[in-house]
Amino acid sequence: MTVNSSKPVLRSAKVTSNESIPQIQVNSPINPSFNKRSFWSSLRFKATFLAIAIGTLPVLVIGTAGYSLADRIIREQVRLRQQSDAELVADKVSRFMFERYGDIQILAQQPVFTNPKLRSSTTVAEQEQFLNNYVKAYDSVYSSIEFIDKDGNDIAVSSAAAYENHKNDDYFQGVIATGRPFISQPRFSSSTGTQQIFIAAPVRDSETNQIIGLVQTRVSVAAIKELLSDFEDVGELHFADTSSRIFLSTEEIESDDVPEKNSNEPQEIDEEQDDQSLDEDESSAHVGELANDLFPDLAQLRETATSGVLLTVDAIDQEEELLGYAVLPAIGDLPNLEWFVLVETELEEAFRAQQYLQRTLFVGTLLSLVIIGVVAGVIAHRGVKPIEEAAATVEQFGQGKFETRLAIRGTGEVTTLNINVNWMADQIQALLETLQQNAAQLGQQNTVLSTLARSEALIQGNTREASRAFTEAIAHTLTVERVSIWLYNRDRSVLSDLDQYHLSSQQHTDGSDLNEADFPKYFRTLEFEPFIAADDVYDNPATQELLISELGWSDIQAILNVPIQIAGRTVGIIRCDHLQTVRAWRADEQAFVTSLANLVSIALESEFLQQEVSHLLDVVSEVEDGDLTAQAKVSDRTTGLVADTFNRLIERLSDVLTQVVQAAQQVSARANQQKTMAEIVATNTEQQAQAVNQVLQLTEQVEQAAQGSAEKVNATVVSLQTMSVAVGQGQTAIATLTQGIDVLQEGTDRIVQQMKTLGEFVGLADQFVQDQSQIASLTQTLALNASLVAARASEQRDPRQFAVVAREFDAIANHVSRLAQQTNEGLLTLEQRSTQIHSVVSIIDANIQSLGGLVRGFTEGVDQSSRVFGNVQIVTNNAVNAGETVTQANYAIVNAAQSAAQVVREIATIANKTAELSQQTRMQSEEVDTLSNQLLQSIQFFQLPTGMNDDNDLQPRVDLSQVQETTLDVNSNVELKDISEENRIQSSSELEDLGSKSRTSDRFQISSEAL
Amino acid sequence: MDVETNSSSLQSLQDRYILTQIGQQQLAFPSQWVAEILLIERSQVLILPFYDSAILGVVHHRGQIVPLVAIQQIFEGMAGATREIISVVQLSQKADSLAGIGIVVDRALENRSHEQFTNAFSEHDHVAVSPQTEQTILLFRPEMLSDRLWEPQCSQLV
Repeated sequence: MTVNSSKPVLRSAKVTSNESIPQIQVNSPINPSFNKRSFWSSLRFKATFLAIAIGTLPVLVIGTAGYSLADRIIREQVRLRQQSDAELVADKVSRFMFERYGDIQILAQQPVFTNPKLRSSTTVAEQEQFLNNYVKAYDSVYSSIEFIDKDGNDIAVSSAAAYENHKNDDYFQGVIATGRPFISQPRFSSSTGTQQIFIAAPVRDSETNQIIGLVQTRVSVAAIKELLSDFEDVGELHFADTSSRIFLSTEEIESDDVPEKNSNEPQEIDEEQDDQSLDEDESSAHVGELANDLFPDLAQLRETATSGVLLTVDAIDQEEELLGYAVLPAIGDLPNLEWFVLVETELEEAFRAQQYLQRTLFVGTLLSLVIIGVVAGVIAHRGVKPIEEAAATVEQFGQGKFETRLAIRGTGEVTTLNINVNWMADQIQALLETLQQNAAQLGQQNTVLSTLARSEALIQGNTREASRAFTEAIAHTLTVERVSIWLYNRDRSVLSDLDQYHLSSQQHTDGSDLNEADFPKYFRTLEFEPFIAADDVYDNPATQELLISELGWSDIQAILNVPIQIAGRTVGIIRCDHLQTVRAWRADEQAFVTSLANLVSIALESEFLQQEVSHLLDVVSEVEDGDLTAQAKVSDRTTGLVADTFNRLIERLSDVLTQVVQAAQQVSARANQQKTMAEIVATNTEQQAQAVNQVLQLTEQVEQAAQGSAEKVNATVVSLQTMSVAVGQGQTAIATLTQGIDVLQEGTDRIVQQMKTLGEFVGLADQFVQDQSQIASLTQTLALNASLVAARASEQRDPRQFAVVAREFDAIANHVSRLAQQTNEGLLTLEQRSTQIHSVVSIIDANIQSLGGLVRGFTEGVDQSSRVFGNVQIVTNNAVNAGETVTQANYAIVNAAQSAAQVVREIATIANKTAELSQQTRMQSEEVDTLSNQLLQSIQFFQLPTGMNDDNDLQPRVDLSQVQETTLDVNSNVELKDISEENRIQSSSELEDLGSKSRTSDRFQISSEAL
Repeated sequence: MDVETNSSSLQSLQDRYILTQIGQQQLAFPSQWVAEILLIERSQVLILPFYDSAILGVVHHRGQIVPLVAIQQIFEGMAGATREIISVVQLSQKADSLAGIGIVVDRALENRSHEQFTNAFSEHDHVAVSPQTEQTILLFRPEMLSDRLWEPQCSQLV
């Protein structure tokens, strides 16, 4: 299917020649956004993207997860392997050293050295021979073996060594000191020029078990290096001693001459297997350096573990490296050397497997992405293509190209969609065509309708003429054979034919009638459902009746019956009779006939209106001729309203005449009332004048009273001044009094204190009395005891017993003497106390005397203040008297004021009265004015109908005479109003003059003459 | 001094009474029965809780343990006013079984001879009348202190 192949648009192809037909606008692009549709929002992109996402995401996720898992495992394995390597190397070296340690112990126990007999029997040469054999047996392990006496001198040495004194060497001192084998730290040996490890063991005499010397072996570090040749693939190996100094390293110095070295190396190793070369040692990097400096993190690891792995940076070449670390393990009784092994591998190399894995996974993921992307794109394209085609076609429809069709392939949902889209397009096309045909007919009908609406007959209300034009127009426009207009008669029992047009003969007929009695069903149907659109008359019982009429309508096949209505009431019908064939009455045709029915109703309406207007004109002309009895006919139309209004106007004319008479009578009565009121006003004003005089007198009284009260007030002020001076004196006296009371308070306090002191003294005296009584009882007891002693003595005849008694007496005498002394002292104390009491009493006396003086002063002060307050009372009395006088004066003022108020109230009442009266007067004047105005208007209105003059001849004359006497002139009335506001007395006097003037007013004479 | 004349005067010396006041009652002790009149501070008295309430306690005096009997408790059934220093009449060896005990008195009044009483004490009459105050004076007798005093009072334990 080709989406772009489009036929010319239907609209442009079918444009009709008739301009009045409304154009059916098919909107060009319905949705402008169709054109701007971006690739990113397209279905194709979304589907492809989704397919790729579904295909690749799992691969990506699994790849990433697998990679991360494998990476972690490999890393762990590499680290473990590094660590185990380090431990293996450490173990191997440790075993090597253990063997050497065993060797030296075996050597030291050789009978050649230990057995004194054998020792003495063997020569040094033999011993040396033995040692050489031993060195050879351990090919290239030992550099030399020496037998040293206990002074440090060599006894026998293997061939490679020289005779020396070893007394200062550490191993010598170590062995002599501990008596146990000793392994030295690797160090540079001057004799061989290489790194050597010295191992020594004591040689004990087999008989005496004394240390007679020691055996020393030297193991070259190169031998250890040789041992490690199996571990070349593990990485660079470093050995460090206790102080972390590296003494052995398999790493080569990376310098320019490395290639040369490499070429030379095998030879050198071959040549110098026995004697480890200095060059080779020096070629190793790092030897002699501190491992802790090389690998910064090592020290921390060493503190915590004996083996481990470290990811570190080489301090020399700044490469990231994986460092395995292991301390030499202790085997058997080998002393702890505290050496450790470092296995150094470059990080890149260690994780090479991991990198391979990473690369493989990355490439694999990328490949699968590309493949899945391509496959997904192809699938999405295949799936989306039909939908895109359908969308494009629908877009064409939107732009109005309904000729486009979709290709039908297969049986899937998309095919069903395509079939439906095609079917939809067919339907839309058919609809468009029908629509355009209808529009053309409608345009024609509208033209006819507008032509008829402008027709002259319609405007002039010539119904017959108009209906001829209408029937003709309907017959031609709708191609109907017979078109007729029928109108009801007055009692709606007969429909009479206004006009009938025959299309075939092009002739108008009229005058036929339809009686209700003949067509009862038809009439009843018209009453309730006047609109009948019968496609086939035989289907409708109402229209069926028409066929059997005598008017020759049996050939009718279809009838359109449209009511003519005025104000919602059916006044007639338009009937279209289609002959021979059944006809479906279309909506636009029905609407056209209905419009024409409306035009007929307008024509009828205008005819009615013209009739009514002519009737009204007739009545008006009658009234013009003076016939007020004439009345217009009232109908329910607008013209009826006009007639009604006209009738009422005529009625009002007679009403106005009676009003004029009544008004004139009222005016005369009001004028009399005004006169009496003016008299009352005059008397009131005189009363007011008298009252004002009274007020004046009262006011003078008030003035006098006020003067009297002012004098009293002055007197009061003077007495109050005197009082204030007296109060000042009183205040001073009270201040003095307060001071006196303060002094009194102080004196009282002092007396209280002294009384306390006195109480204390009295207490002391009490205590003294108690002491004295105690002393007295003691004395008495003593005396009794003395009497007892005396009694006992009297029993005794033995002079020795007397001596005892005498001694007792002596003791008693002493007691008594002491008691007497105590009594004496007590009395002295009592004397002192009593003097103190006396002094205190005298002080109290003096205080009381001074208090007396104070009290006298106090009394004087009180007297003084009482005098002062006496003065105050007198002054106050004066002031009170003055106040009373003032009050009396005020009373007088109040009385006077009350009288004045009463008088003023009276005046006010009178004034109010006057005001009311004048108000009444004014109102009446206004009424008079109004009345006369009414009268004038009425009379002016009265002048219009001349016919009335003859009917009411007698009454206006009687009225006119009364009017002449009572009614005021309008001008004079206005003047009265002004004057009454200015001066009542004047107005009252002038009113009389004006009243007389009004009688002679000539205005009404003129009007009466006119009447 | 003439011995003969002295002997009569000495006899008069021996035949005397120590007059004491106990509450409202005056009690006379024959001077032969009295060893000494002691003044003892109450704080020195060691209280014996399981004895009759009349036993005030014991006191240490001149190497001897002196039990104190509040005789007012026996006379009037009530203890007198408590003093800080109490007067005690210590009985001499002449008092046989009561020797060494101290009788607590309110006050030691005076030393009075036999003649100074209006009616002297006889064997059966243990009451005399004081000439100055007309007050009856009891003569101290050992029977005044029943033997129950010296037994611990079990009832007080309960």
